[in-house]
Amino acid sequence: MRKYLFVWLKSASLSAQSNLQQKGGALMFIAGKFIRFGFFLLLLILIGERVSRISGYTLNQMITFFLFFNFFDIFGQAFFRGLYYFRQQVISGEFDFRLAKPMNPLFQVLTRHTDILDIPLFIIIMVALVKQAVGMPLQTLGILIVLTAAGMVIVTAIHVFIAGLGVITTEVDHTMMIYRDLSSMARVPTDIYAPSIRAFLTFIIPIGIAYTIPAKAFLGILSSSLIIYSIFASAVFFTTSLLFWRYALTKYSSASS
Amino acid sequence: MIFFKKYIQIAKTSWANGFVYRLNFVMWRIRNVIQLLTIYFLWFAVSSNQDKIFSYTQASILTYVLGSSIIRAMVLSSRSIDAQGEIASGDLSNHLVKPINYFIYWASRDMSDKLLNILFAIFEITLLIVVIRPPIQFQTNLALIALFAGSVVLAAILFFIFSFIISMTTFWYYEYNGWAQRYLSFVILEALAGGLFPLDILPPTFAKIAIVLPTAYFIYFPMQIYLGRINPTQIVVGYAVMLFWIVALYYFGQMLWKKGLKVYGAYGR
Amino acid sequence: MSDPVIQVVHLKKYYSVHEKEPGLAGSIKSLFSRKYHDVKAVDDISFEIGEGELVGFIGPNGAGKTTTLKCLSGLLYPTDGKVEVLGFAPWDRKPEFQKQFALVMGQKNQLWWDLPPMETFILNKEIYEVPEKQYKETLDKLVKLLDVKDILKIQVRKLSLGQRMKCELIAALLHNPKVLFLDEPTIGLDVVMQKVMRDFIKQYNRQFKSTIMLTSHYMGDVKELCRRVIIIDKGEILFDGKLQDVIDRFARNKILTIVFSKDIDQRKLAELGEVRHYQFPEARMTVRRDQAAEKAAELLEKFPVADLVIEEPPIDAIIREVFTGKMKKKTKE
Repeated sequence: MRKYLFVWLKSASLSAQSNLQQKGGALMFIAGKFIRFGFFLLLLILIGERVSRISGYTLNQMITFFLFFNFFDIFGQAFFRGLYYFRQQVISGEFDFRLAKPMNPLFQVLTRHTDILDIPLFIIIMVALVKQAVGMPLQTLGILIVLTAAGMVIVTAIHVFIAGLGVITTEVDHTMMIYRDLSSMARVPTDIYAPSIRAFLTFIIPIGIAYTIPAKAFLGILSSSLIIYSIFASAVFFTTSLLFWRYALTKYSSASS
Repeated sequence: MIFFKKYIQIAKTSWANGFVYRLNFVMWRIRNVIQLLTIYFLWFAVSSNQDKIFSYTQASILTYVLGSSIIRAMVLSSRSIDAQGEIASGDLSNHLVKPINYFIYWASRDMSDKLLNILFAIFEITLLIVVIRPPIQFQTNLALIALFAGSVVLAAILFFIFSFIISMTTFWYYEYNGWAQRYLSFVILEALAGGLFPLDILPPTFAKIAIVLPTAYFIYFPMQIYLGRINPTQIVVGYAVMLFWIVALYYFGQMLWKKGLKVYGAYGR
Repeated sequence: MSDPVIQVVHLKKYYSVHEKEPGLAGSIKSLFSRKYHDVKAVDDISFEIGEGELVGFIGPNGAGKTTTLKCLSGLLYPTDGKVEVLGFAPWDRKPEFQKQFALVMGQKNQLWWDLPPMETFILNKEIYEVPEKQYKETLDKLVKLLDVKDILKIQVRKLSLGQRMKCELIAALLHNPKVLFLDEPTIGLDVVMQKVMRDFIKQYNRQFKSTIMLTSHYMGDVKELCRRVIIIDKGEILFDGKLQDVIDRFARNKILTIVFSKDIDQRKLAELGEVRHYQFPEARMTVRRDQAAEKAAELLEKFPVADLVIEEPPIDAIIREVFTGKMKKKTKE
């Protein structure tokens, strides 16, 4: 366990260094992330000024959903950035070295890079959420923490699944971007979509659960059945994704140069 | 004639190259559809049970969203963003030793790429219209349609120059192969070109500023003409601003190219 | 020599690079202040090359070979000095100039990676405005010379390195360039393929009377191909002249290979020169160049010799001598 922590911190520090090395570029990336965040927030506010309720949600509630979306979106991007380099590793055969090392290959693949460029916005979003959470009844807070953890587990599971697909098909980048595109549907509460799309986002690709159920708990508008479903779903998705990863490794055909 | 021959050949070769990456292309189009649906459903939800939102009826705002998707394919789709990679990696050298014009080289490749994208975008939109049957506003005024088409062509030219300028910054800032500034430009474009929301919903002061920026002419301006939301004077002024930007950015780009080559020559990647 | 095709006068090319201390602290420090220093990639070199010459440009990594070639191709602006190729200043990049030369870099490719090489050939034909008839003739000839008929329709990415290099050469030669710059054309190739390339370059130079400048760190390339060599190190020319002169001047020793008919006393042998290797029946030893004949005679006289060969040391070793500072200042022939 200590070894894993050390390796993770070391590789995070190395990615941080290479980011700092390119300071102009790093600043532009960070600025870009803030601008994108800002523009969507602006859109929500503009709409909120004209329309009092969107599918039953107030402006403030919409913003909470948006904050939670960003929390989970950035969580995946910042900590599992390594996956964005995975395709290259599989194609070049570098993945062979990962497999040969006495360390869980999945861990290596996911955490090879940690993107510190995502961290500034991540911190701001956390602060905004924590500030609002202060003074919540303990029970709500407890549920919120459990559900957020469940959400993080689901986000991890999705990344594991994409990594597995990558091993089998050597295709990672597009799957990754499609996941990002789909998850951006959760920038607003998924209830505003047509029932079929909502079902898709809740049961097929569990983005709806991961991203919006914690937000609902936060707003105190969650039914207890959904809490149980959410925990159950995260366990199932995570187990399935690990099984899939193991299966994928059996199908791995080392880079045939 | 012999001048065009080589660029026609470049377009052909580029087209052939595109077919090697069929899967890539299909995935890219799938992403486009998902992104379109995201924005579409958001605006659908917002405009439901409302008479009008920001002076848009539900039909006009949804037409705006769907139309902007086709305009994206015509204006924003681009192969020439790869120029920045060539500048960063030094592969630009391969082109510099040849008797070709690097801009026209990429313009030729862009055109063949746009053709493919437009075909797919039209197919996708038709499919969506058939499946989800959205309320749509059809423009019947032929003059407006002609002006709309003209503005799209100018928008494509303007975007090409704009995007090439972003690529050329890689001469100076080659960190991350120029992707930092490209990413920044994408993020800004997403909002200021009018793809996320029509620019006239911004508070009046901001809207006034946004409208004189070149970015407003990529999507927002053509769609305003199509929807018949601006009067003839505004159309003429818009065209004039657009032409101004084309000329100004063209000369700015030429200057950057000359200076950039000096820098490229000084570093010798 | 009539008018030189390539003329380089006091060419200088300096780069400025920045330094970084290792570690996260170093990264943060370099955010605020960066130290720069000049690297003299090419430092005041001059030479001329005449029509039809095949010149080898040799030196260790980072000696300035590629930088010079890039200056000659118009890719780099020189810091100082004058360069003329075919009467043009290369960095003006006039189409009339570009149609008359080609640059082949062993480590970069101009072929379209995902398409068969034929597509790039057709594209280059249009780019260089090669007339149909001439294109066909040249292509036929090159394809035959390099024996690549069967691979013209295979995706470039699926070709072997050797096959790809052959196609790179064809793509570069379709417009019959008068001047050809080859930067490490044999790098990474196996011995057989290196030989094919050399033969081709030699033949091309003879047939088309083109001027060729070739860099390589395989001495074999240079020995086979070039009568004249320019040796460069740390941006300066160390030697410019006939390859034979390098050997005469820098090979201080000759190598004797002896086969004995009977086992001998190795210590006695050592009195004649430095014994590199002895295992009955064969011995290898080095002797001073001017004494080679004399020592050989002595050997024949004192030992039971079955066979004796006198050789120049391998060219690699001689060049190594040049670089290890046996010659401090540049010598112009």
